[in-house]
Parts: sequence; structure tokens; C-alpha cells
Amino acid sequence: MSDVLLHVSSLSAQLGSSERPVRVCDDVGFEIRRGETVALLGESGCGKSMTALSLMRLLPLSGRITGGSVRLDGRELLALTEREMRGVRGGRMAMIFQEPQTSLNPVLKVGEQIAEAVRLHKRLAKPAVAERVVELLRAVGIPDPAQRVGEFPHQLSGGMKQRVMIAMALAGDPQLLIADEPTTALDVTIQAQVLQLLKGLQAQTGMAVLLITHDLGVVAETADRLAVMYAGQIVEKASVDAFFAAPAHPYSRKLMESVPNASKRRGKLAVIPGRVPPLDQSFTGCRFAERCGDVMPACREAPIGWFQPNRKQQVRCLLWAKGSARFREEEISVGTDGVVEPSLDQGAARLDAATASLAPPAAEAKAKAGDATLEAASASVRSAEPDPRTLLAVDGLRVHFPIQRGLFRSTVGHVKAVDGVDLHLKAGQTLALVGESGCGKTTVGKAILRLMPPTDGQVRYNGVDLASIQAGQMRRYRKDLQIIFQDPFASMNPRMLVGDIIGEGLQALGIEQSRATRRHRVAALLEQVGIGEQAMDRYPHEFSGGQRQRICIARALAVDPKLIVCDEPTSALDVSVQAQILNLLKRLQDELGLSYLFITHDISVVAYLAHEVAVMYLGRIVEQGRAAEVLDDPRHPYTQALLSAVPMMDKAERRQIIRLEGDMPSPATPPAGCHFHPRCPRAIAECARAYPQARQLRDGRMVRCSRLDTSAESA
Amino acid sequence: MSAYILRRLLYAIPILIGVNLITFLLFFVVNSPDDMARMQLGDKRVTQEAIDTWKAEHGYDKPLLFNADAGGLGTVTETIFFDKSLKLFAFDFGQSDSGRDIGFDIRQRMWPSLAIAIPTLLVGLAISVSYALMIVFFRATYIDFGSVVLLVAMMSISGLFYIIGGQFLIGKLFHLVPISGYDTGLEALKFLILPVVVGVVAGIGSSTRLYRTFFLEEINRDYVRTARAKGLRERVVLFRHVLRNALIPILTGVVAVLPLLFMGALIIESFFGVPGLGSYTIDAINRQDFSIVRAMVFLGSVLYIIGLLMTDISYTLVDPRVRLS
Repeated sequence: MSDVLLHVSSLSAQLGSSERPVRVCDDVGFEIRRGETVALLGESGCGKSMTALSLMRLLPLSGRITGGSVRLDGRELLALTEREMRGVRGGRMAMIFQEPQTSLNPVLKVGEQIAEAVRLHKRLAKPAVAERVVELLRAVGIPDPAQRVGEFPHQLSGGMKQRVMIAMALAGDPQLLIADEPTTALDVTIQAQVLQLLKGLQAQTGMAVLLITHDLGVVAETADRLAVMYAGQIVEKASVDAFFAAPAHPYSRKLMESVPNASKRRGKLAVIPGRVPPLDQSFTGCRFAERCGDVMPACREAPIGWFQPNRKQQVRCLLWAKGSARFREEEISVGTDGVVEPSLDQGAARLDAATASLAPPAAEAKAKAGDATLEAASASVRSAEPDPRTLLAVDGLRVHFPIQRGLFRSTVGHVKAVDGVDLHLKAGQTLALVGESGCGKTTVGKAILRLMPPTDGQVRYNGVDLASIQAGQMRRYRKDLQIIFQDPFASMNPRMLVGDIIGEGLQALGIEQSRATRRHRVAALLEQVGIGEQAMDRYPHEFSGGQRQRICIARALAVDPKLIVCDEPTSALDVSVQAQILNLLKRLQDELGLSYLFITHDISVVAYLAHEVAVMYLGRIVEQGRAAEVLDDPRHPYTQALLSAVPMMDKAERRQIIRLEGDMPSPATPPAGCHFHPRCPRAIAECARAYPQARQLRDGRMVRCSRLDTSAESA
Repeated sequence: MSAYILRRLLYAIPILIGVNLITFLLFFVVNSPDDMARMQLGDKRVTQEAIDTWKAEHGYDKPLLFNADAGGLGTVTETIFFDKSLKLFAFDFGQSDSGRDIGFDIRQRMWPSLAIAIPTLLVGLAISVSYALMIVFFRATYIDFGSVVLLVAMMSISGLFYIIGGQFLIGKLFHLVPISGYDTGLEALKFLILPVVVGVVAGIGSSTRLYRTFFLEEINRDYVRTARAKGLRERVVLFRHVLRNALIPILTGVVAVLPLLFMGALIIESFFGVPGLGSYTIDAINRQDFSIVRAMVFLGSVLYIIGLLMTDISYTLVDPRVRLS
């Protein structure tokens, strides 16, 4: 029995018509050994999901495999008949998908859906099938498995649904589990649970895992080896340790540098200019050549072969053709500063280059000095600044939604989405509001802008309480307070021209009434966000996700606001595009003195961008303080658990994961006392009695926990 | 659930009152009793006396809304509104202009209507669902393409063509069944076959095409991919996963029209001489018998409201995600 379980070589697949096929995967080859985890890493549209579906021979109707070989345990899968292949699918090789919400049949009970897979791959008597289903549910850590068998998918939380998917995949005792972005749709603490579960199951059963993901942190924490995909091709194969020590392919390097984190605070994030090339063309040379900073004429001439910089790495890049490391020394050690981009979409490149050259040399030197000193330096710089004045003060904000039942829809209770939130945002600063889905953070943002009526509390903007003024008077403040939404695809009217979308606010608030001056202003705005004024007469669908989010930012900027509520502005974007948007937001803040209320679940973005952080759990703020302090030394048990669950690329930064049991309770029936106590590892009986009072620590941060270790504090 | 049904029934009351008021306005204010009498008596030489006698005979001689002559309660009850409109709420339809009891006629005539409508619905549903499922099984092949062409052609042809063509082909050329007419008991069967066949054929085009899109929508869902990844056969994927989910919109669509089956099929019944409620309505319109038309309009509205309520309730029965509140 050989050590290699799955051997893929020169696998190619196409979608669409044969005249102009989209080559979703082209000459893909890799192998997976028994019991190991291999990650397939890449951004959206690079063909990683299609590669996985090709392995299962489950390509969509218009797709076909055009060549290559897939050998599972020595057996050629591409030569099997459809009937034989059905035995492999779900039997030898199982797959779980990204969106557990839609990947389960909504009208069948979960037990039935698992039993279906059991019956198919195991010859068992009826009672034995039922037993096996319960056993599988127990194996994936679902409480009360016997009861859950009879429930429908919508009765389970997202994490539970993904566990059900995993149970289903385990039904046939697979040798290989293909996990296609298994945790992308889940919250970070739930993600930690699911990844831990997969690791445990792997140890028990000895199965191999092909993990498809875009998240470098997840790869670093779970995989043994990885393959980086770009434009339908694998460009680098490496062991995880070697890869994260020094990625060999320029694309891999850029990808890694574009991930935000605390150590990159001072500088700009690296961006990859241009876009992934469309896959319906034929390539001659390197597919990354157009966007590569180290491109050479030879790169474009012929297909690039494999080179081996060291024993643990293989790369499709001519920089390694001579066998020695070709990257200049300083480039490897440098964080992000001074990375020169040749040509981003016109305007952005010009502006970015300008800011880069403006950065004082002293700051650049400091940035190179190393992460630890940098943190200290930035902290001291910030404390030396005079305290900026408070722009927005939210005090005791409540947003309750009534629950109505019965014949006359009488109100029987309230969903307390936001239940007493205090926030202070200083002029020119960024306050990050962090929390997992369902904690009420988006509702806070909407209530501040009166897009949702607050039930109680004050929202004082420059001293005026926006929560209590008349709706008509609110119009005056709309100019100062703007919002950017999460999904740049859904938040623009698809039938309006980009210029009209941006100019609408100017017109509505009576700022620029004449059409000519309005167009002039819109052109300037588009230039400012790096799109260029020719975008004005085009429709939103003509732009990529990152460009659309830039347009959304221009729309918010149009009325010259003081404060922008950014509601997860980058979570629908790829990491390299996210870097562009974060750079833009940061530059705009420096230039225009904007304040951001940055609503997000992504800790690394917070670390990169925010001055202050407020952590929210079930409608309340549990910890609030300066970003560096909260993130480096979290004091509330929830903040600690949240931070520990974030997958880290750097081994040194990893913390022991504090595993939280269960899911966030419903805001309609929050637990008595401290909302967090049923899941808190440090809870005592007293925690169930009353919600802990806010406590001010010496460094100025606020924590609401009665189990704080305050021996070192004298506050 | 019961609270929900009760609340929906309460919501129906203002709708029914509105329907009642609008029909009253249309039938008695826009088109006054004098107009009605003139129309019934024929236009030539109509004297005011003849009109008054006709009105008295048919109970249209009272004031519309308010009777000042009658004392006490009579001011309200001795009016056309009370007599002709409010009594509809108690399903008291009164007499037709030709002097027959409308309620009795409806009870008699609904059975032939149902005898055609129910088989047409069930057979049509079975054929359309199976045909659509077959097309989807062979999706993106010539069977799919050819079927869609056929279905579009079928739904583009007028219903009248199917009626006349069916009567000519089956009744006249092959002498299989009588062209039109009706009988009681089992004898009615031979008169029913042709209208049912014509009704089914006329409906296949549009319904199969609709169901095909329902199936295609479901077959691209993620859970179908999950089912295939388990190693299930395409047949099992279609029947156990796709069909179950696609049946939700199909069934609820059917439930919505169930109550309206009582109203009969207007054109088919008239052409095949079936004494059902459809031909009853058509005849009443032709004879300008507004009492019957008013009764049928009101009845139709009631049945429609019931249909909508049944649709919402049926959702909870077939879709575990829906809870009414």
C-alpha cells in the first residue's frame, strides 16, 4: 500500500461552450498522502472549487474534464463508469460545502438526510441505520443527537448545520474528505469549533483532508502542505512551514502581505494591481505576469515550468530558474512599506504612489525596525497627542423589536438586539465595533443614523441628540453622517448610472443643485477613490467588487461627511481587494480627517485600522478600550475567547484556543445575569445573578465582568 | 395556528363588505333598476307604468338605501340594499329575474361543474408534473429543447381551437362520444370525457412550462449538489430531493384554485352543453339577469378568499420552515 492516497496529474476542466471554453482548471497536479491535510489556497475565481468538483466528477452541466488523471488509492477515477463513480462519491471520498444553510435539503429531517448516505454506502438493517445516524451525530459533537435526528435544518444554528454536513460526509467512512471553504460562512469562534472537530476526526479515522480556502490563517493552523492556485493553475506547492517562512511565488508573497494585522498598522497594505485574468483565453507565459512586480520578458514567452527553491517548496516562477533565491534580501524582511506598485487602475496608482513618497523616511525606518518596537512606538505617539474632541457619544442606546403573538398580535416580548450600548468616537479616529453575527452590531450602526428607530438612549453628535430630534430635522445631519454597506453588489441601484448614484445625495440634500457642477464634483470624487471620472456614465455591474466598494465610498464621501459608519465594508471581498479598500479608507481618514465607526467581525482588520475597539456580545458592549491594549491583553473572557479563535499565520502569535461551548443565545431570551456566563470558562454562581457593572481599568478601558483579575489594578 | 386562521377570517369580513358595496354600486347605482327594467322589457314602447310593474314584480320598487316611508326598523330593512345585497352574507341569493330560486339552481348545477373541473385538474396536474420532471431529467438535450417548443406552441393556441378541434375529431369523425349534452348518473360519463380531455390538453402547455422552471430552479440549488456528493443516483436526487421542494409552489398554487372549481369552466361548459355553474353564469350574462350575475360575483369572491387562506395554511403543512403567526 503506497503512502500516496490521491494522485492528481495534469487535470484540466472547462466550462461553457467548446468554441470559447472557460478553462477553470488547467494542468493541475498534486498529491495527498494518507491522513494528511492539504490546503488548496486561492482567491475567488481562481478555480479551486472547480478543481474539487472535478475530483468528485460533479462539475455543473456545462462543465467537462478535458484531460488528466485522478487516482484515488491507485484507482483511476476518470475512467470509472458513472455507476462505479457513485460508489466512490460519499464512500471513499466525501465532500462538505461552504454554505451549510443552503447545502442541506430544507424539507427533509437531518436524520433522514444522514441516513440516506448511510444506507447508500453501508449494508445495514433499518434499526442499525438509525443507530449509526445517532452515532455519527454524536461523533461530530451535536448535543442530544437522538433528538436532533427528527429536526429540520432550519431549526439548527449555522455551526450545527455544518456539523450535520460533516456527519453526512463521514457516513461512508471516507479516506478523503474534501472541505470546500467549510468555515467561511461561520463566525470565528464557531470556525474554531469546526476546525478542531475536523482535526479530531482526522486523528480518529486517519482520513486525509483536502481543505479549500482563501484564509491564510486557517491554512497555517490546520494544513500540513498547501498548493496555491492562481487563474486555474497551481503556482506553488509547499509544506506549510516552508511556505509561511518564505513564500516563493510573487503572488503568494503579495497575498501574504495584503493580509492586515497589527504589525502593519503604520504602513499601507500591499495590493496586487489589476485583476485576475479571465479564464476564457489561452495563456502563453506566466498568468501572473501582468500583475507581477518582478516580471521579466522571459515570463511572457513560454509556459513556466516547475522550479524547486528548496526541498519543501516547488514553484512555477522563473525567478527561481537559476536555483538560488532571487528575491532581494530587503524585500523579504520588509513588512509592507515601500512596496512599489507599477500600475493600479490609473488613479489609485497615482495617488498611492504619492502617499508612499510622502511618507517620512523616519517612519519607514521605524517600520522596518520590527513589530514589537513599532507597537510601542505607535502607542507612545498616540498618547502624546492631545486628546481629540468627542464627535459622537452614544449613551444607553437600546433597540428592541416587539415579538407579537396571538389573535390580536399582542406584544409578548422583545428581541433586545441592542440593549444599552455606550460608545464614544473621537474626531478623526476609528472606533471598531467587533462581534459575531447576531450580536447587534449592525443594528447599532443603523440606529445611530436613525435608519432604524432607537427604542431608548441618546446619540449625541456634536452635542445634539439625534435619537430625540424630529425626523425632519434629521435631514440636516444626514450630510455629516454617512454609511457604507457590506455588500457592494446589492447596495447600489443596478439601473442607475454610477454618476447618478454618487450625485443623488448632493441633489437630495441640496448641496449641488446645478447639473454641471454636480458632475464636476462627482468626477473629482471618483478620482479621489481611484476609479477615474469615465466611470460616471457606466452602470454598477460593469465594475468588480473592489471597484464597486470604491464607488460606494465615493457616494458616502459626496456630501462631505464627518463620520462614516462602515458596516463590514470588506467582508464580501477577497483579501487582496480588501487591502486596497483598507488602504483607501486609511488615506481618506488622513486627508479628510474622517471618523469611522467600523463594524466588523474580522479581528485582523481591527488590529490594522482601529484606534479604539468595542467588543459586543448579545446586545451589550463587554469590553472597550484602545485597540492595541484590548487586542494584546484582552481582559473580558469573551474577548479572550474571540481573539484566541482567530487563526494566525504566525506561529508565535497563536494563542491557546479557548473553546466556547454552544452558540450565542437568542437576544429574545438572554440568560439572566451576565449574558456570557453560560459559555464562560470562568463563570461562577454569582455571574448568573446580575449583569456586571462597567469597570474602568487603569489604562482607561472599560470591562463588564465581575471575574476580572484586578490584583494588579488599583482602579 | 388557530389564532392565525381566526385572524385571517376576521380580516376577510371587511373585504367581503367591500366586495358587497362595490357590487351594489355597480348593479344598482351605475345601472339603476329603471335601466334594468327597460332592458328586460325591450327598448320599444316602454312606458313608465310597465317599468314600475316590472320593478314591483321583481322587488326593485323599494328605495336604494333609505326608506323614509316605512317607520322604525323598516327605514333600513325595506330597501333594495337590505333585500338584495345584505342577504348575500347569509347566502340568501333570492330569486332570479326569471323567477327561479338562485340558491336552488346553484346547488343543482355545481355537481356537473365539479364533475368536469376535478378530473381536469387532477389529470392535468399528474401529466404536467411527470412531463416537466421528464424534461428536467433530460435537461439541456434535444428532448428538453423540443419539448419547450411543443409546450410554447400548445399554450399559444386558443382554447376555442381545442374545443372545436376535439369536437370535430373525436365526436364527429370517430363518433366516440357525443359532441355535447349531459345526462344524469353514470350515463353522464360519456358526456364528460371530451370536455375533460380538452380541458387537460388546453392547460398542459402553460402548466408544464411553469413546473419545468420550478424544477430547474431547485436542481441548481446547493442541497442537490450535496445529494449528488453523497453518491445518490440522479433518479433518486430528482424524486426525493428536487420533487419534494418543487412540489411546495406547485401544491400551494393548486390549493389556491381549489375553491374556484365550484364556479365551473365558463367556456367549456357552454360549448359542451353541460348544465354547470359556468354555463349558468354565461347564460345569465347573455340574458342580462343581474340577480344571478351578482350572486355569482359574490360567491366567487368568497371562494377566492377561502382559496387564499387555504394556500397559506397549506404552506405550513408542506414546508417545515413556515410557521404562521
